[in-house]
Amino acid sequence: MLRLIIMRLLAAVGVVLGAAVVTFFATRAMGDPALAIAGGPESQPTPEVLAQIRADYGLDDPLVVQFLAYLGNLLTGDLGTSYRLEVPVTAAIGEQLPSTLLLALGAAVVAVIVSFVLALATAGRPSRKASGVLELAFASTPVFWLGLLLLSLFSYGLGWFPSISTSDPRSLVLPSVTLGLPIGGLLTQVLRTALEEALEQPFVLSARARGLGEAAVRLRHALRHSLIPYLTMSGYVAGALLGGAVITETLFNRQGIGSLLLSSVTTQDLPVVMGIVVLSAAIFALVNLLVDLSYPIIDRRLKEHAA
Amino acid sequence: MSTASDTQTRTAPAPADPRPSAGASAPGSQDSEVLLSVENLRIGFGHDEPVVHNSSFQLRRGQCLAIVGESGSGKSVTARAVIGLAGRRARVEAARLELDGIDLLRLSERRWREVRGNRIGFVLQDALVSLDPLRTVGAEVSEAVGAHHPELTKAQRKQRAIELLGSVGIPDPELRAEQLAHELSGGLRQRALIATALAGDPDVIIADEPTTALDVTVQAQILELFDELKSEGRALLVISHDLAVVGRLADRIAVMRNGRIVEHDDSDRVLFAPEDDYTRMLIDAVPEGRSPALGEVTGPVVARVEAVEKTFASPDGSVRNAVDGVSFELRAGETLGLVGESGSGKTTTARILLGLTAPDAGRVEIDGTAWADLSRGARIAHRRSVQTVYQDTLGSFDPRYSVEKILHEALGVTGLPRSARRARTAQLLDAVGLSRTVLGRRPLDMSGGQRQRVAIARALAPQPRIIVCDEPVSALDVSIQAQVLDLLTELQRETGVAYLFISHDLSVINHVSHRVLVMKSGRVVEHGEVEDVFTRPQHPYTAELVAAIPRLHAPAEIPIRKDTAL
Repeated sequence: MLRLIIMRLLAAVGVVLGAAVVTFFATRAMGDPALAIAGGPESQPTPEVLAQIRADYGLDDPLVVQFLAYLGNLLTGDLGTSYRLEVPVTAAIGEQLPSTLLLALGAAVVAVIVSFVLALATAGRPSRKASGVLELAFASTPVFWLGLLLLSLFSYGLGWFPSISTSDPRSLVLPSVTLGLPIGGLLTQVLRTALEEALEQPFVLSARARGLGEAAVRLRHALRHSLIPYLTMSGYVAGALLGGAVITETLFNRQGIGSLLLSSVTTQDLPVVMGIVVLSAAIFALVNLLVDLSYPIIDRRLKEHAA
Repeated sequence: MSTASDTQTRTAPAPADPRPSAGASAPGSQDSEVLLSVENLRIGFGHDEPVVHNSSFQLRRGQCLAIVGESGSGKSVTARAVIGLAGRRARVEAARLELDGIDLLRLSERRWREVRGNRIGFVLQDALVSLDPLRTVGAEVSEAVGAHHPELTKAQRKQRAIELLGSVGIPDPELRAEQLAHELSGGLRQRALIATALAGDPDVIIADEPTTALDVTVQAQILELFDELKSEGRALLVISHDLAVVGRLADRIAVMRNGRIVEHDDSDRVLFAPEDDYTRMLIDAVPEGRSPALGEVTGPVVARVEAVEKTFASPDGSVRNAVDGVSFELRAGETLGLVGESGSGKTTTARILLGLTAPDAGRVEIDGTAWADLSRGARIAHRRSVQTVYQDTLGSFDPRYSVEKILHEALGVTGLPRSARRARTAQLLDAVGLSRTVLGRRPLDMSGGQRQRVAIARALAPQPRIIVCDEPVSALDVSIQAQVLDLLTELQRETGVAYLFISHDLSVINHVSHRVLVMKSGRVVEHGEVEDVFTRPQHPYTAELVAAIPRLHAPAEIPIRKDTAL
C-alpha cells in the first residue's frame, strides 16, 4: 500500500513538472516576454528599453539556461515575480487562493448534493426520465448564462441573495450554484448509470429477499458500487473547475484565482499565468491522487491487485 | 381465465399465529401443514403474453418441491413472484397466493419486508455475485440479522452472524466473517449465502439453482445442508434445470415448460414413471452411460504432452503449482476427458496444449512438432491444427459479426481463396446441422445451442487435428446439451479429429470420452480408460468424484467406496 502511495505521488509530481515544462515553452513561443514586460506592443518601447529589460530579467541567457533556472526556482517554490503587480507570484496567488477555494468547495457541495439526491431518488424508477431532462439542462447550460439567469431571478428579482461578493456568507450561494449545477448534472448522469447497473446485480436481489428496504438497498449496497465511476469522473471535473471559476468570479465580481488569471492573461503577465497553470495542474494531480487512493478503500479487492 | 375476479371471493386470511407447535405432523408427509399455497398463478411483463400460465402448487412443512425446467420456462420468475420480487414491470395474478394464512397478493411493500427473510428465505445461485462483493460475508449476515431483529446491538448482531455461519457448516466462522465472498471457496461462499437467508429463521426457503455454479463434490455437500434444513421442518422450494440434482432432495417435482406446469407429482413418479412427453425427453437427455456412437481409436498420436509444469506467483508472493508433471497422449479420433474441480489446473493444461502458455518445464508436441521449437511466425501457422470451443459462446464471438463473417474469417486464416469460402461455409453449416438462413444472424440473435454449433463450425474451419472443448455444454439446457454432444461424436467419426474434453460434469465425460484424466491440485491423480476409472476408481479423490455424480437412477453398478473417500 505504501509503495502504491509513493508511486502515485511520484506520478503526480511528474504531471506537475510536465505542465510546467509545457507552459514555459508555450509562453515563450507566444511572443517576446520583454515586450510583454514593457507593456505590450502598444507601448512601443525603444530597443534600449527592451535590452535593459532583457538584461534585468535574465532573458539574454540561452533558453536552456533560462528553463533550468525556472525549473530550479519552481522546485524551491519560487514561481517568479509578477511583471504587473511586482510582487512574488506565490504571494499574488496566495492572496487570491482562499476565495477561490471557498467557491470551489461551495460548488462541490452543490454538485454532490444535487447528484446524490437526484441519482439516488430516480435510479431505476420512472422519474429517471424527468431527471434526465433536468440534468441535461444543468449540464449543457453555459456557466455565464446560468449565472445571469440566477442573478436576475434571485438577486435583482427576488432580492434573496446579493449580486456581488461581500463578506456576507449568503453572497457565496449564487456563485456556488452557478459553478456547481452543471457539474452536478454531469455527475448525476454518471452516478445514476452506475447505480442502475448495480441495482441489476444479483446481490441486490438477495438483499431485497432478506427483507431490506429500498433505502438500505440503495445506500448500503448499490451506492458503494457506484462510487468508483463517480469519483473517477469527479477527478476529471475538478480540473475543469478553474475554467468555470474564471467566468463565475468575473460575473459575480468576486476576487479569486479566476479573476487574477483573467487580468494576468489580458496584461500578458506571464509569470502569474504560468504560476496558475502549474497550480491548477498540482490541484488536478492531487485530487486524482486522492481519487486513486480511495479505490482500494471502497473495493478491498483492488488492494490485492495493487500490492 | 377468470382468475383476476376470483381474487375477490376468497375467505379472510386466518388470524396469524404463524408458527405452530413443532411435531404437529410428520414432516414431509402428504398431510403435514401447507405453508405456501399457489393457485392459478399468472405472470406477465408489460403488455406481452404471460410468461407463466395458471400454475398451481403447494408447499408443505418439511417438504421439498422442485420446479424443474429449461431456460425460459418461467421457473425463476415463479420463485421471485412468491417473494414479491418479480420486478417492477411484472403483473402477478393468482386465484390464491398464500403463505401460512397471509395473502401475498395484497401485501404492502412494508408488510412484504416483514415476510421476506423472516418467513421466506431466498437463496440464489453463484454466491460470488449474490453476496455483495464489496462487503464481508459477516457484514452481509449481520445486516440480514439486523433486518429482522432491530433490537439487537451491533455486537449482538455480529455474534449472531458468526453463530449462523457456524450453523451452516463453515469452519472458523469468526475468521470467515471478516472475509469477502471472493476470498472464500465456492462451497463456503454458498453456505454463507444460505446463512444470510436463515438469519430471520424463515420456515420457507426458496433456492434458485443453489448448486449450479459448484463443483460436483461441493454440490453434494450443499444438497446435504438443504436436506438438514428440510429435516428441521422447513419447507423448500428448489428451482433447477437439473433433474438429477433435485432428484436427491425433492419430495415432489413440478416440470415447467413455456410457462406451464406440464407434470407435477411425487418425485419418484416423475423420475421413474413420467407421463408427459417433455418430462420423458428431459430424463432421456441426461447423459447416462457411454455414447453408442463412440468409435474405436486406431489413429496415430496427434499430441504428446510430456511432464509439463507451470507455476504462478500469487499476489502474496507465494508460488502455486498450477500444473505439476502432467503427461498424456492424444490420438486421432480419440476423446480424452479432463476432469477436476475449479483450480485443479485443467484450463492451464489446455492452454499449454494450445501453445498459448509456455510451460516452465516439459514438452508439448502437436503432430510431432514441439511448440518450443517453432519460431513466432511458424507457431501461428501451426496453431491452426489445434482449435477451441468454449463454454461462453456469446463471449467468444464478436457480437457485431454475422455468422457468415465469423466463418469467413476462420476460413481466411487457412489461406482458402475468397471464391471458395462460400462453398466451404455451406459445407461447415451442413456439418453442424445449421440451415443457411443463419448466415446473416449475429450471435445475440441465436439460441445457445445454435451459437455452440457455430462455434464448432468455426473450430472445424481450418481442419484441425485437435479441438480443445472447454466445458462446451455446461451453459446449455439438457435437451440441447445432448444434441451438441451427439454432434461432437458424429463429427469425430467423420473427420477423425481428437478432442481434449474439459468438464466438471462426470456424466458428460463418461458419455463422450474414450479415456479420462483426473486432475487435483495440478497433478494427474488418475488416468485410464473411462470404464475402468468410473467403475473401479483407484484414487480416493476419483472415488469421491464418482460417488458425488448426481444420478437419476440408483447407482447400483458403481461401488461407492466410502472407506477410501477423503
